[in-house]
Amino acid sequence: MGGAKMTYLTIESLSVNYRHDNQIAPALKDVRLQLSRGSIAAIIGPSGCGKSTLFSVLAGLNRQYEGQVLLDGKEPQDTEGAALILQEYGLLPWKTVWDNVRLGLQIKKIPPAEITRRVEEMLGQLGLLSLRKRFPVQLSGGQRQRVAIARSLVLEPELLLMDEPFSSLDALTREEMQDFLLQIWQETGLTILFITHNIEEAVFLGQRIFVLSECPGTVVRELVNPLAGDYSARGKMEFLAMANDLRACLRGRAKGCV
Amino acid sequence: MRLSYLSGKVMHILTAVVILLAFWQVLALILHTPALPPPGQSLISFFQIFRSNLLVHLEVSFYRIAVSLIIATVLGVPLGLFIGKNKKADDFLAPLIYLTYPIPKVVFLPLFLILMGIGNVSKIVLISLIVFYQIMVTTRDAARNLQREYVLSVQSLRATQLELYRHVYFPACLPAILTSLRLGLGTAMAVLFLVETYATREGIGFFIMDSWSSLAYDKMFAGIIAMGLMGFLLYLLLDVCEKILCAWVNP
Ligand SMILES: Nc1ncnc2c1ncn2[C@@H]1O[C@H](COP(=O)(O)OP(=O)(O)OP(=O)(O)O)[C@@H](O)[C@H]1O
Ligand SMILES: [Mg+2]
Repeated sequence: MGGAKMTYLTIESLSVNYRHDNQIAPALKDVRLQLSRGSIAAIIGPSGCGKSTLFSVLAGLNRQYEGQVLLDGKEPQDTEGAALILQEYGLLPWKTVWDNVRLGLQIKKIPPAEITRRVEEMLGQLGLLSLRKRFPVQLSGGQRQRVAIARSLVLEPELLLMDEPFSSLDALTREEMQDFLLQIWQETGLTILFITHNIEEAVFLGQRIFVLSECPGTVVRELVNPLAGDYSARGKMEFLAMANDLRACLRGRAKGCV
Repeated sequence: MRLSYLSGKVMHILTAVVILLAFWQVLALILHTPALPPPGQSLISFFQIFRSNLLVHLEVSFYRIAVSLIIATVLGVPLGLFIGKNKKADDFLAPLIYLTYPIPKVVFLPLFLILMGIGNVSKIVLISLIVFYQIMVTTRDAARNLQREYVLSVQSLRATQLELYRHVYFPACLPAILTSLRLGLGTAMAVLFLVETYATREGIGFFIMDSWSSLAYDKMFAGIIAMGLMGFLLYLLLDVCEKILCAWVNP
């Protein structure tokens, strides 16, 4: 323990190429990124620059990559440390809240009694117990996102990957969920990496903000953001300045803002 | 809640029956021919010969339909899921399917009769074969069009292939499978009638044709009522299955 600043995630010269009708289409090029254990960081960049692709590599779904990706010293496919929440949450519409949250443990072959105990505890913590018999279509966007978070947290991951977690929520629910995520992060000490298109969200939540370039994506800038996680920061001058800085960087990314 | 749902359902069915009978009555009055006896007469005949005569034939027909549907499902669903999931298998098998799907399989009836005899086997094989295609193709299309996101989200939990079928492909395709079963049931009944008019002395199809050739039209329509009822009950059964298994579609 102890090493709070220890590196959890290391990405060195990561490149991913897709193939379209025999043509090579690069999605990520020479990505370099480090994340210390227990930190929370944002990835921001233009649409189609390979952010989701990066996550599919980290989650062990995409093994056709070049370069080095290590989670706590292990390659993505050799560790179960990372939990991925997809862009549209990836909840299965044919399973109830309870069964959705249970699924990961079921696949891990955890004994049923322990599954029940852990799922119940997790749903209780996130205030979802009363919804356990509902299907995803019967939930609001915020509730769905909570269930998706519960489904990941119940697996006790070390790294939580969230692909545009709050993008389809209305402004108020969005802020609520940001606070909620912050609270989870503070309570669990998880390492969290999330993708966002929202500048304020990146500044509010991300201790580090990685800016990706146009496709093929690469990290063009890494911002260190001391304002992250400060509830009172939302309206402050520094907050707005940081957001403006980031906005300028995103605007000027074509010329490179390294 | 449940009770009012049921009684509402029963009311709808009764309404449909009354409309159907009224339509039949009017048609019989207008046409005024022995080939279309009025519903009253046919119903009386239906109740008169139900136990003594119809039931035996119904049992045989029901057996043929049920076994055929089960065989078609047990073979069609897994194959459809497999082809829909694996693009390579699909590339290879799709031409084969499209070449053989449109062939009217009833033309093989004489061949099947020679190969498998005039008993139940040849009939069941023919019905199964026809329904199998419908189920397999529908299942494959459903599996192919499944949103990748569901697969990815379960894959990221390190699921095995078998678990992917179990938790994603099969439940996701279940509504489509039940729809194809409903369509298949209609087809199966039509084919059943055809195969029961050849080389057999059992089954509701035989009974209808036999009554026809002896000009016993009221009996013939009693047979038609029986066949309709059998189909109706099977549809109800599929509806109940859908209510239970696909509750998530319209919760
Ligand atoms: N499975 C795939 N096969 C081929 N090309 C792909 C595949 N997935 C993504 N791509 C391509 O790779 C590039 C990066 O896609 P990706 O989904 O990672 O972008 P993104 O940054 O997440 O975009 P968005 O912000 O819109 O979600 C895009 O040009 C996309 O068309
Ligand atoms: Mg994306």
